[in-house]
Amino acid sequence: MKLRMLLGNFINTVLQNFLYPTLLLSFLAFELTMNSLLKLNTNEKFGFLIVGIFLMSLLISMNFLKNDAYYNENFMQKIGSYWIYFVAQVLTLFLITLFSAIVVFLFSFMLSSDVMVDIVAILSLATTGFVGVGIAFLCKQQWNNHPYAGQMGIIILVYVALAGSSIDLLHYVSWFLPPVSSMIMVFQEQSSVIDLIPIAVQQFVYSIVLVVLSGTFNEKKLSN
Amino acid sequence: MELITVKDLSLQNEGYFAFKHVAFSLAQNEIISIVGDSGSGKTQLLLALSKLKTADSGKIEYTAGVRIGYLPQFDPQIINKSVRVYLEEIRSLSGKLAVSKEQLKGLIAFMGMSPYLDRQVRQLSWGLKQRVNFLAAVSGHPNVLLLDEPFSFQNSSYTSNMLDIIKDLADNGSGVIIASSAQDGSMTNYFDTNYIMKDKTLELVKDKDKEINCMLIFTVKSNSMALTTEISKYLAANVSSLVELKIPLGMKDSIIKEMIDLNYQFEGARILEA
Repeated sequence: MKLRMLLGNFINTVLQNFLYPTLLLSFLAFELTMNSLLKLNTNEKFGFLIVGIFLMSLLISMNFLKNDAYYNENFMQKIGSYWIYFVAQVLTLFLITLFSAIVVFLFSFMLSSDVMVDIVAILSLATTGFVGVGIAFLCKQQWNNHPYAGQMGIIILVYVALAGSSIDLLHYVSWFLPPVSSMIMVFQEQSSVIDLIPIAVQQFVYSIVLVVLSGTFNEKKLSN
Repeated sequence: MELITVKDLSLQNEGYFAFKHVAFSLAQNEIISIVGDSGSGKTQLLLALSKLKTADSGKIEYTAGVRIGYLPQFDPQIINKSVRVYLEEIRSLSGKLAVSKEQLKGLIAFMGMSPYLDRQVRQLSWGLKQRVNFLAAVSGHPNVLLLDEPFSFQNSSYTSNMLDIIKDLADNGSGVIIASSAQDGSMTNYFDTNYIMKDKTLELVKDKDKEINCMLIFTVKSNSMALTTEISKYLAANVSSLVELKIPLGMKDSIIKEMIDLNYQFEGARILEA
């Protein structure tokens, strides 16, 4: 009951200022025109989709968390359980990201006859989006007590996520960095979607770690 | 039995004390009133008690099994559901401990919300939203009820109905804290303990029948009119274009409005020792 109520409320919060539909439709419109505009090959096109879905899910998550911090200020008290509230937030954003990944992939005209390849491609896009969700969660203090630390955190994490694997200095701590750029590099080197499975798993684990860290740091003890 | 015990609680917001060294306890069957000017720290104290804010120092001890119902001063949540669905959902969150469906129906009728049951909550006026939020806070039958300015936008009839519901909850074992910036003399009988929030700390009002007064300060402008007989009786000082009125706290808003209508410049207010 609590979860159902929370999911309904959070989906309304995501949709309430039309940022999500606007971003998604803009993305799809650009996808539909980019073939003739940019004449990208499959490698470049998939790299573009990865960066696009990462930024889109990051922006949607930030928008959601900002609205949640303002509008649902007292809602958590009514629910009475921090962890149910937090899990519902994560679940909402993961489901929306998964939906976005499916739609974005379908409109990319990269569908293959092998269903397995399509599933792996969608999961790769979805897990990239999950990393964006995780970064937004980790820096959600920017709408509460630490606005500057949160904003700086977002800037640094987005930079290392997109440019991390091309900076030699960061090679030794690559396991510590958001694996978004590695996904693009692996695909460009291997040109095979199936080879993305390990990176997709790594991204999923990375996003879960970020989300759990955020949940633990920001925990509010609502029950005795 | 004590439900909440607060020991030397302090909270700072960006370097400023929201409240400091607050100590009191709330027992079963007790209704506490906290009166204080705007910005005195009442809301922050209730947020800390409802666990939505963490205090910087001090301690809040909750007796095991305490369930808190909280009515915020202003709830920005956008609720697209109808009043009927929303209240039923909130009621069901507390499971078997909540008031029954029939009781909730009775409370809704008592608070004059029956005609609005099928309207979306977000479409309602501030006053009606306040009543919905009040019903949401009591529908879980909490054993600690925290109410922040519950009587704002309400006429005397609904204020009285709210007080009856609060009294009924307290008689059935709950503890209630009501924070407000003004208090009508007619409410005093409902409260067991009165506190005043002054200088960011909580002081017990020993003689609860004694009215809490407030000093209003105005400056005279060139077009200010003469004070009416009604206001003149509260005049405490009138020296070099400064007018000070000593009034009961409950009349604060109406007197300020009347003085502004008479073209006096409002300078400030302070609560006087009880």
